[in-house]
Amino acid sequence: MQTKEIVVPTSSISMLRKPDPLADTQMTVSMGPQHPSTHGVLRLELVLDGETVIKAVPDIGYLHTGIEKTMEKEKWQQVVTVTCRMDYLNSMGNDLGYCLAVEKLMGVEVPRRAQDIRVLLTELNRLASHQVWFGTHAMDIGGMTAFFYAFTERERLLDLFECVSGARLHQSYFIIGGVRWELPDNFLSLCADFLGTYPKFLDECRRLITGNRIFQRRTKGVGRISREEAINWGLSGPTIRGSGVNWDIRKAEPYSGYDTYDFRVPVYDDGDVWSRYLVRMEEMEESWKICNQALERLKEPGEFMSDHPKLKLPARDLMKEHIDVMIHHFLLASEGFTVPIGEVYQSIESARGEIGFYVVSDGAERPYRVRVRAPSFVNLAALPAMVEGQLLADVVAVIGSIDIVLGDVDR
Amino acid sequence: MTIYRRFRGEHFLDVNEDGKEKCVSCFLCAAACPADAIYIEGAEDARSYEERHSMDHRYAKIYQIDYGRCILCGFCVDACPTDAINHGHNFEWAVYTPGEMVKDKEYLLANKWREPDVTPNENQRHLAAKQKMGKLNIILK
Ligand code: SF4
Ligand code: SF4
Repeated sequence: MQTKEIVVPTSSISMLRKPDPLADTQMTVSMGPQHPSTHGVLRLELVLDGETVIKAVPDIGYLHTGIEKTMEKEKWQQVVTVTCRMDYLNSMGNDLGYCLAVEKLMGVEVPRRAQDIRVLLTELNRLASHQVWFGTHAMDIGGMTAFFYAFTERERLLDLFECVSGARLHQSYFIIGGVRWELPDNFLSLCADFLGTYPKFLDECRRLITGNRIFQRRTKGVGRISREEAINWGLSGPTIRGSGVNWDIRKAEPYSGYDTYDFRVPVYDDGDVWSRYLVRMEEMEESWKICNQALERLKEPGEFMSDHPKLKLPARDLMKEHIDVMIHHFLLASEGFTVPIGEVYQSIESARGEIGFYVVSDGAERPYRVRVRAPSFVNLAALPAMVEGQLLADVVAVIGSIDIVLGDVDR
Repeated sequence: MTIYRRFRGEHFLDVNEDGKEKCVSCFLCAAACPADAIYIEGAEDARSYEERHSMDHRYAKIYQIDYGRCILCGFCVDACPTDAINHGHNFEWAVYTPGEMVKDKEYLLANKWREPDVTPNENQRHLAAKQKMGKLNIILK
């Protein structure tokens, strides 16, 4: 029997032997600024080898608002209207940081009750911020449902802010010396209602996401950053506490009487997305505890504003009767007040980490310079260290886990 | 829809019990405004109390708030010595051109009529009818 040799044209063989034109070549992909999971307008320049990220360069500045410069134009008291617009998810915290800094510079003592109101509201704001994180983080990873649960509950929080300050997001409720108005009559009961049902919501969240196997597989061991690296990058907030560093400004350098509250700082050691997830989930529980304690204290009456003559606007009935009080009111409202020459740094624990205000006064009615140490900016700088060598699909998980707000990054 | 009483919405200019404008054009609100949203031109009115526009001899000839700039912070309300400017509860502002965001004195005076728990005077009702305004469909809590 004759066998017939199959002849394969040599040209096609050589073509088969040619190296794959796509092997070993790198591709640069722009992720953002319009990507839905970059939480705002972040652009990441990713160099990919297949699906592996070789290099990641965050490109920021798309949300640059010039807020630090704007602060130099505003009078001391009016600056709170722009601080809350930097990190819009943690607006109360930003206002608090700025007010504390100026109060430190002026040497003003804030009344007990005002401090308790501030603590209650910043902790509620932390809850609101963490709920946005929870919803969007889960959504980035593919779980749409959590988003609706988290935002429904956040809506109730924003309602509370509206009740107390008149605005849902940009409250401008804290001012230098205390808070702007006394709490409304129904606020404490509304707040108690909210806090009463909150543990149930947290429980729902845990049942929804924490035990989810897909979520765990997508987050455990992903975006790891070691303890040393985390410290060297200067990370703060839940991001560093997920790497086993017990660092919380509320405990390390207490302000507004946080040292008198009973709460725990959750710390996890693995440094991955999963650890950061657990830290934030427990933090919500701790914030809830602080809120309850603050609410208990607010049942006592007290002053909501320091009676420093520079800070407190005169009582309205007095102002309408006496010309000297009227003149004082005119000066305060039109020219504002001066702050002694000096510089001061004050940091607080925002929902994202250490937010610091470096305030310089040259003795005028406006700040000479306000510089903000923004937690999102510093945490974002460590993003390349977390994602390099990981898969492309994990990048969104890591971005979600450091919980950046672009308004905070760019300012 | 229910809205909290403290909600800081579109402003209204108030009048006193005789229907005289409370605003005496003192410029304090404009000075306290962090966003430079308020534009006022003051004028003197030497006529008697019955005939003139405002409670005092001074009144605002032009009073405009540019809602393209306003950030609804409420500092103008805190600053006003005569309680003339107040926050209402309207927040529906969609317009077609930026110029329409600038609201003038007539509009702001009529705005009080839209508030749910307010019984307005004749002039406000007249102004509101002229602007084709309707009552706000909200409940305050
Ligand atoms: S609410 Fe604030 S921004 Fe708006 S006009 Fe009044 S002071 Fe200006
Ligand atoms: S609204 Fe009040 S603060 Fe503004 S000009 Fe009139 S009286 Fe003065």
